[in-house]
Amino acid sequence: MGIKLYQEPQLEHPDMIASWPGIGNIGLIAVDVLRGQLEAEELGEIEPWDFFYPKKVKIRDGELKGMEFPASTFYFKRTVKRDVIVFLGEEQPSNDRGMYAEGKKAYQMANLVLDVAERFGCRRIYTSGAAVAPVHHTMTPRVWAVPNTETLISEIKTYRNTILMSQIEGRDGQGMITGLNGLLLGVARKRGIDAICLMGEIPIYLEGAPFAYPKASRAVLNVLSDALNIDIDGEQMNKFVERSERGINDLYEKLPAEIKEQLDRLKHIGHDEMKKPEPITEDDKQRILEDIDKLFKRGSKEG
Amino acid sequence: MNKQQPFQIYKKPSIHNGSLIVAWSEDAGALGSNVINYLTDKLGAQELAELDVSGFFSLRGVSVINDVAQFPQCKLYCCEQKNLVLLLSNPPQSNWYTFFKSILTIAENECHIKNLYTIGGMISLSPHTISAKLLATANCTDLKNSLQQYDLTRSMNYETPEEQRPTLSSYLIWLAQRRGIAAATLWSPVSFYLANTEDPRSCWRAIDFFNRLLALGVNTSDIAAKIADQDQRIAEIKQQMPEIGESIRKLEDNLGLDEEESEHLIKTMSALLRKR
Repeated sequence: MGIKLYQEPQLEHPDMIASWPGIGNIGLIAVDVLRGQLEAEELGEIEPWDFFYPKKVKIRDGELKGMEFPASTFYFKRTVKRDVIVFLGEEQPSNDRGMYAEGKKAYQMANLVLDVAERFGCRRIYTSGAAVAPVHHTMTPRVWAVPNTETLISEIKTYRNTILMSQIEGRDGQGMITGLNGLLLGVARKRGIDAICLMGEIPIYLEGAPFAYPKASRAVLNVLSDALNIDIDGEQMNKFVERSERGINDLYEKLPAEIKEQLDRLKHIGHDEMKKPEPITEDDKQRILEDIDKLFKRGSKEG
Repeated sequence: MNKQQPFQIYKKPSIHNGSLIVAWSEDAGALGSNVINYLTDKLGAQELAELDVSGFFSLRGVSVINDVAQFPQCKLYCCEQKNLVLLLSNPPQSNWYTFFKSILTIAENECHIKNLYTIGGMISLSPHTISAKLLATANCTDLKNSLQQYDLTRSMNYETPEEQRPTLSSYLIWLAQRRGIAAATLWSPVSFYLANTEDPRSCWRAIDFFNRLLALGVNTSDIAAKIADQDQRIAEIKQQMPEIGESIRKLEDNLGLDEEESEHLIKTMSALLRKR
């Protein structure tokens, strides 16, 4: 189990941005777009054997020619303003091949990522994921930010379109970030490295959708762009968001009128009004999620 | 037994350039268990080693099969006269890399294995009455060529589709390839409606292959008797339930079944063939 570095560049107190798959792949898409825009070079990888079951076998003319494993890759980029290391995990290591990492393997993976961060003298780690919220997909998603030390709170308050857990009614500053996008923060805290997790809001009714939600990724990317002081060309992401929005609208139109009516209520509570009681009861929410799940299943059969 | 070597070794076998046959106990038509148990019994193979399964199975509880509580196991048997080692295991649920590494380490260091073969059941849409061949994939050209003399399907092209994963057997022979051990996966077709019970024809196909490949000299007339017995029982079912006969005839004529027909065939065969 180890890290394989392809090169050892001299980096000046880089920031590390790490992400693994999660709900709507919000963080992963944001970080991957950032990597692409930076034209970051491959730096190294975490060897997959101890963490993952292979994802693809290649057989040619009756002979086994290759086995592909989920990749966990580091990239780097020196920019005028800041050096950056990007980490992208294609899967979270999990014993039962579930979506989220847990236990010993999750801890080992987090430590290996931080070993690379420390080796290159990283100043700070950013991770990214999803925040499931009672919002409508036509609204601009906000970014929930969770630091691993109190000293970062004042800085987070300067980020645009960003809120802390304590600013969300009913949470009282409490919450849970599932999987490695969250765990990395905790392990970084243990090792004395500053870290912030940025989570883009995804509507509750899209939580289980079998497609990405780039609108939230765009919101995260904008915050990262500010925090890292790196200019991002938004065109690629905007096109992705437009395509996704059209697809979601098509699906939305197919929802039963009663469900749509309830979901439409989410449009009328602006972010400033989120402190009001939720407009949809838990029973309603359950029924809505079941109906949407049915719609996705029907859609995938038809598709 | 320790973290590096989780096998408890009961005896040091005297084997050189031998062969290892690996099978999984949860397999279509119970093929893996049937092949290993049959060879172990016929060859008088002795227990050689057992793996400490605690690192590879969830052990959240026990599964119950046919009214009986089970516990996962991974055991090696050896038959020194035939230079043969047999491994039967439940499919590991986690830490696959360490699991396979442990198997290959004991196979190399303690058993001096030259070739490794996995055998498994492959669900087939063809009826049990149609003759079928074993499907082989080798991890090196030499072994692939040496298998040429056997009547196998050997020229498969395949890539794991999205949403699916490679089989444990493919993973094992890939790792064997990295360690320079010549290995092949062998798959014996099992008719889909026999996958929940047993398919003695499929078992015979596998045993007959190993018999020839490794010069085992095993008399397989008892499997022939099992095949005849199962044929007789299926004939009785067809007589009592003409729609079952009709479904099998359709498959023999290379016609597909609709979902309802397939489900009825599977349920009927599973229920009636398991009753004894």
